[in-house]
Amino acid sequence: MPDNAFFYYAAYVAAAAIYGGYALSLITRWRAVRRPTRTKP
Amino acid sequence: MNRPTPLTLAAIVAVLAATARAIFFTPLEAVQGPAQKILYVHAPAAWVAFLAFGVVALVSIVYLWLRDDRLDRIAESSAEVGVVFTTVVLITGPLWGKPVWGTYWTWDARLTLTLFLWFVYVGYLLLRGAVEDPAMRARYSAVLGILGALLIPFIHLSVYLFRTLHPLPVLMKPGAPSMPREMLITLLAAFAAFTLLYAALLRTRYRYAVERDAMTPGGFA
Repeated sequence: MPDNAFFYYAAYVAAAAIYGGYALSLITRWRAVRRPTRTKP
Repeated sequence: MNRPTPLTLAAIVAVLAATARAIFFTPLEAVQGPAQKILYVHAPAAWVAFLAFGVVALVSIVYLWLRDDRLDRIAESSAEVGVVFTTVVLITGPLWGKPVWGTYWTWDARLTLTLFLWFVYVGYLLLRGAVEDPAMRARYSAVLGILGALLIPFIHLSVYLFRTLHPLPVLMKPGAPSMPREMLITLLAAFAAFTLLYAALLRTRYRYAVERDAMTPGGFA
């Protein structure tokens, strides 16, 4: 059997990073929308 | 952001369970070795990407008929989620191709059209950010969303129509699936789990769009 586990691990880590990064971007954008806008006195 | 909904929690649990099954409880394929397990993230991501862009096309058609802003927000949300899943396809595919084909990339029909699909929907998202008038933005992007989805049947059939390194489908084809039962169950579980993840991300992204537009009427993505 070929020893190519590196590619398997790399693919799973990359997929997790992309899905996780996207979820994080959604949370960040949502918080930015809810943050009250500052106005000058 | 609100607390996670039952749908989001169910999607997270399903994806973790399907991934655990793929890693720990599914046998290795004798010829390809561990790299074959990339199938369980690559193929479901491709299915969900097609589903997401299909939804974009469908709701865009209805939008052009009814001009309902909710449909435009669904299309916008589904396109963004679809781009995320297509990115996973384009990253995991080459990581599978290198050990099995001996190359990360080849400019054959399946791979090239998938890359083109990704560019079309990244363009769709850029278009939405470039047009200020909400009605015009929705109309232009609906047309692009419909045209982009026309690529999907070509991508699916490209392995039959052209010479390619990419293997033929194991599930979405006429006749019985061509893989051992244990692997097939894992693949079906992964398809279900990532479809659930799509639904959860789409719902979350849609609710974000609703709130954004309420705060900044005609807001950008």
